[in-house]
Amino acid sequence: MRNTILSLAGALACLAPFSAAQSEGAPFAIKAEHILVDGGEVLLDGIVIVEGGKISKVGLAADLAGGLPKGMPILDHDGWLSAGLVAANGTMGLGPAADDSTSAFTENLLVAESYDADHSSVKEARDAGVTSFGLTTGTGNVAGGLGSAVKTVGGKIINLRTHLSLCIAPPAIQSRRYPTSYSGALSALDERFAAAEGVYGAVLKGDLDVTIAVGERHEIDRAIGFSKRTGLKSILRGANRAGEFAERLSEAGMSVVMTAPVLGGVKWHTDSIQSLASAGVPFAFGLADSNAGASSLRLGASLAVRAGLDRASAWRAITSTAASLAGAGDSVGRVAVGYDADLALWSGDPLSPATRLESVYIDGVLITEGK
Amino acid sequence: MKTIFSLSAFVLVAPLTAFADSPQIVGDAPAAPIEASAPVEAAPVKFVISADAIYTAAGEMIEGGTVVISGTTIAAVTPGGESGEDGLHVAAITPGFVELSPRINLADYSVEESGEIMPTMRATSSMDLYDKRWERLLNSGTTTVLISPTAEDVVGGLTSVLKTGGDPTVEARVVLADATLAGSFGSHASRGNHAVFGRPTDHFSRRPTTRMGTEWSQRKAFYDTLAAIGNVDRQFAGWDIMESVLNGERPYIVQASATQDIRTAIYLKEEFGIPNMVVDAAAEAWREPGLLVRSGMAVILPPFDAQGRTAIDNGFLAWNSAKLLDDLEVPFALSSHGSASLNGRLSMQAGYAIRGGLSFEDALAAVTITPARLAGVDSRVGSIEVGKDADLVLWSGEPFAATSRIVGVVLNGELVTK
Amino acid sequence: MKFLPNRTHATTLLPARTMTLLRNWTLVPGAIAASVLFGNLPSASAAVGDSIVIEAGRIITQAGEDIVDGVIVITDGRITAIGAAADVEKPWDAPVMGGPEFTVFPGFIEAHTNNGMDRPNENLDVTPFLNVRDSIDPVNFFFEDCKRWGITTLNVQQGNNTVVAGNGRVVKPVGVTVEEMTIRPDFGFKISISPKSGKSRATQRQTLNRAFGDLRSDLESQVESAKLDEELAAREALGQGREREAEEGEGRAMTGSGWKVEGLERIKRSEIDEKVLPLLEMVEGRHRTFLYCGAPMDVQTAIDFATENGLLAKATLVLDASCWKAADAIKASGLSVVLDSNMVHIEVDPITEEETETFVPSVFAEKGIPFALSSANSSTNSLWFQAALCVGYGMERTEALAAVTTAPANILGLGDTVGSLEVGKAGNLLLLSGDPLDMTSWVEFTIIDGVKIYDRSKDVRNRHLLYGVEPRGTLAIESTASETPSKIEVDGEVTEEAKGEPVEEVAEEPIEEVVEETTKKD
Repeated sequence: MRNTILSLAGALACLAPFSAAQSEGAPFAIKAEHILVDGGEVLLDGIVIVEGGKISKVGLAADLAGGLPKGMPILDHDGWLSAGLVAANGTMGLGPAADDSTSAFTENLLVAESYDADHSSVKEARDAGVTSFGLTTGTGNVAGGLGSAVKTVGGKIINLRTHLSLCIAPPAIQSRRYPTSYSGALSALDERFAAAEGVYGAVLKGDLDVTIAVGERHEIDRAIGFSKRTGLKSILRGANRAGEFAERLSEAGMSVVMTAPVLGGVKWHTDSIQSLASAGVPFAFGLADSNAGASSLRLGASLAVRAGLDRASAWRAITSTAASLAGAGDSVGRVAVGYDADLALWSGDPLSPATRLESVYIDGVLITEGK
Repeated sequence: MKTIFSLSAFVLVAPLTAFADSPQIVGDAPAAPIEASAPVEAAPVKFVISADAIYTAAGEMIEGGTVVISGTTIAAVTPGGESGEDGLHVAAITPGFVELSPRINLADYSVEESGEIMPTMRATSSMDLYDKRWERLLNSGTTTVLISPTAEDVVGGLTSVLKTGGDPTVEARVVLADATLAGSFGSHASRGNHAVFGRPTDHFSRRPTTRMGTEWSQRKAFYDTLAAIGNVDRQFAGWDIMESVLNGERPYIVQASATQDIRTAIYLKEEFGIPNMVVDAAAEAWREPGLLVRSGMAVILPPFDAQGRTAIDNGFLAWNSAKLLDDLEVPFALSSHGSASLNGRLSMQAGYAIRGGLSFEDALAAVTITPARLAGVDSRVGSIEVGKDADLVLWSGEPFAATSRIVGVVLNGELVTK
Repeated sequence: MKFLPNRTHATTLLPARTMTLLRNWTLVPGAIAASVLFGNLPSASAAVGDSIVIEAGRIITQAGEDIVDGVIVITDGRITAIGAAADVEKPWDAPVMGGPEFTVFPGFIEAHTNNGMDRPNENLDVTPFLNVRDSIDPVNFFFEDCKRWGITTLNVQQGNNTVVAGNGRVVKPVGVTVEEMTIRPDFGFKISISPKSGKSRATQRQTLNRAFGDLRSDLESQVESAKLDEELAAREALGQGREREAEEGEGRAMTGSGWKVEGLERIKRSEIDEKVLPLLEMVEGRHRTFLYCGAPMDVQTAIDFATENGLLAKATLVLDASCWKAADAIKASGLSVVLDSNMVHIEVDPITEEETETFVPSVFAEKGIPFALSSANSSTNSLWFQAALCVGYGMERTEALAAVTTAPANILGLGDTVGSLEVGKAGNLLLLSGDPLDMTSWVEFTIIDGVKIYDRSKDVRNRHLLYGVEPRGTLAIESTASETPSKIEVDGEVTEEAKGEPVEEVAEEPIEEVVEETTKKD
């Protein structure tokens, strides 16, 4: 651990151990060689001031250091600092029962009510630098329920009702339960959106996002058709081939959450990512439909860069864009004033596979240390 | 090739009737060229294909002629003429094939099995345009297909007519949406259903569990429809679609393979006066010639089998079935059930029908204009006529002969070659 | 069907002809004699001295130019004359078949099939001691289909799901016993280079190597002990003061293989385990082997394996469609091949997902590799159809036709006997209603060894398939014919000797029946 505690007032530094700074709400500062603010923007020798669990100031150390209140603890990190990673979706903390299987339509279930923040999968995410994610249902139901944006610690919920989670693909379409076919699933959804009651009405009014889980190309095509027909700016989920539909997605104002590329994965996956980026379709990586663990997010982003994606888009796909697709774009995913102090301290460039995660702060509280 | 004048320039400038007295017409070629229903726009000629023989499926064969394509449609079909240096020359041209029973579906996911009477379901909602089979079908000469839900429901839903190529979206490929209603007789609709003993276990605890149950369900659906007409309280989802079948606006295509199922289908047609009904996979239609003629039912034959047995209800399809139906003047189409293999494809089905005694012209019609007519898309596809879609099959020799090969396919005026 | 005696001679020598007929009637009981004469019995053994004359508008000989208005004379099962009608002298007393409306073509030859057997695959890995003789089912529908579709010679080998299979057999689809059917008994062995189900390629290869390796070490130890025995005998003879008896060994040296057992001649054949003896005979080059390759990667293994064990000179590769990729290696090895009935190989690019189609026979034709086609099924997609598809894909017609006649004949080592119509060759031929590659052509008659063994007008099953008429009662192909006497004209006189009805009547009848029945119902 190369972090060292510095203080403008040397004596105070000796008297006040760093842990004191962590008591909730107590302001502190972190000075880092590189601060990855958002996208490709990097501050060299920058400083972040955290007050009340939020970021109160971000800037160059040269500009800000002089104005720091006396006695504020400063953590000097000779690596990189960034926002904590955000998984655009995930089912961590839900255990095996992510879906209610009695009916294909459980649209009123609130998935946050199943969320167990102490579950090992949540800890695993935290250890990989993921500080928040879009909690969503599995893909076992055509309308699975309402998702939330949550933090990976303490069951903290950023936003209780973020999106309605739909699936128009085989996991939800089953032979022994209505609907058994794509046409059945679509007509059932058409019917419900036409009636525009309850959560469907809320979605149509724009109070809730809607995600549609799809896999195959024909399913993507169907989801786009459905979204156009109903006028929804849906977020496609699990749609790794969505890049082949980039133009149509862009026209329809849709966005995409896909699984992160994996080492040795198929080429069309990274091609798809680049097509979305060049068409300006917002996309982010999620964990809900991935077999790889939470560490796949950062590795996937670096693989995308390796395949030709620009760094900014790759980084946003696991931070700010992911946050906005998870319904928490106003509070997490960036190192910016007013945002939650969800921070990750890295040994180097987080988009380099050789880089280690060193510390994670959530709401200004040190959560993991010494990785 | 000798070019007397530039054909493309000619088509642009000269009226088409200039060909009317062309001395180049050979054999019994029509005295006047086939004229477009709409005036030919001065669209730029895209390309010209000449052939030793053009089988238009709309009149006599043209021996030595050209097909001029502009945009996506056929601008001229003329005896004589040359394709020019940029054009193509092939041994023979036939229209692109029309397949009414391509069975290119997503198996269980393409039919809504939570109920039996599902007229509102659309086959277009349950298909995969990215499936490789589309490309294979196109390369095997099939340019237009009718896609249907599988026969697991008594009334399965709405079918649509699509092209087999082009952008993989329904919008880009559709020729006629909601073209027909699909239904089923025989064993398929009742398959998987079971009686309720005690509490129902799932939605398969329902009627029908037998052939007669299927027939009962069919009749009930139409009785309910009759009751729904003019009575709001009796209306159900899709009653209006069922009504469109009853009043003949939409054909009713039902799967029935075995003799008793075909008979049942005919009785349904006669009982409810369904004007426009087609029986699909009708292997044993040949056993009921009298009833077929009486009912005015059209037939889609399943692919011919080496041992005469077909996959659906083990129907026995005699090899001369096509010839027999033709003799009876029953309108019929051949089908391949989506096979693109060398010995199963639709063009080979036409060859087998010829082997069973059918004439070449009738075999050609059975894979082109007749299926187009049965699906209600004959104004656009199914024959080589001016103004129709430029969907063509280019042959190395006499069409449907085992010694001939499809050397190219034109779809919407674009040459597709493997 | 036409069945007219040679008129010119019959006019002048009618008594003599009657004599001949009488002779036949006396030699064998009447019904059988008639059946033999008119080919209605399955037996292919014509009476000695019997001739038959075949007339055709066109004869495709597969040995040079086609003959227009030709005549073939078959005596004692062999072709004794063939040529234009004007050039061939017809035996005055021989029955005449055919006519100008027929095209004559050599019987098709199936170079390799697993059909017609009770069960084509054996559970055991190495079974050269088995024989397909014991599994061929002469009354299998398959053989009936062969007559119907004109396949007159078939190489029946065990299935591909094996390591070393049992002894195969070349048969004709005639007869009710395997012996009657046999053309070449104990012919060929199937060896599968591709893994038998449950094995990996490595285990398959190991099992193969072990089979031949064990053979070698067994022989070597037998030779070793034989040597010891000899020395003992020699010492004994010396001790007893007598001449030693002459060497009885009848083994012979191996020439073609990459390994040898020195002193093999010391061992009597009868002393070698009969379960492995066939393997030794393979190594000695006495048997043809059919090496099955299910993937291109197997081809080089097959060639290496054949080279190591002396099989190369008499090996044929039985190939999956994908094996066209190994065509260069096959060309270099000089081996002949039997192609899969699936002639189009489709390959999907793993990255672009594009499909590439390869028409396999063309690859072999272009490389000049001897190849035979095989049937897709025993019905319409039979050998004629496969050859026709080849023509469609641009192959020369002669080459495509050779691939279903002379090429398989050569692969089976029967090039001098079957595959083409020439003097001295077997009288195996088809009377077709048109060109062999034409969709509308039918095999009207199949002749094997000069005996008519199939007549489409009497083919109840064909009628059933074609017209949907159910076979009634127990009518079989043969019995219909012998039950229905029909009249033929000999020089204005009507005789009752010939059996059979005119083709047209039989063909038309069923349709009318169907229509009538239904009309009654209505």
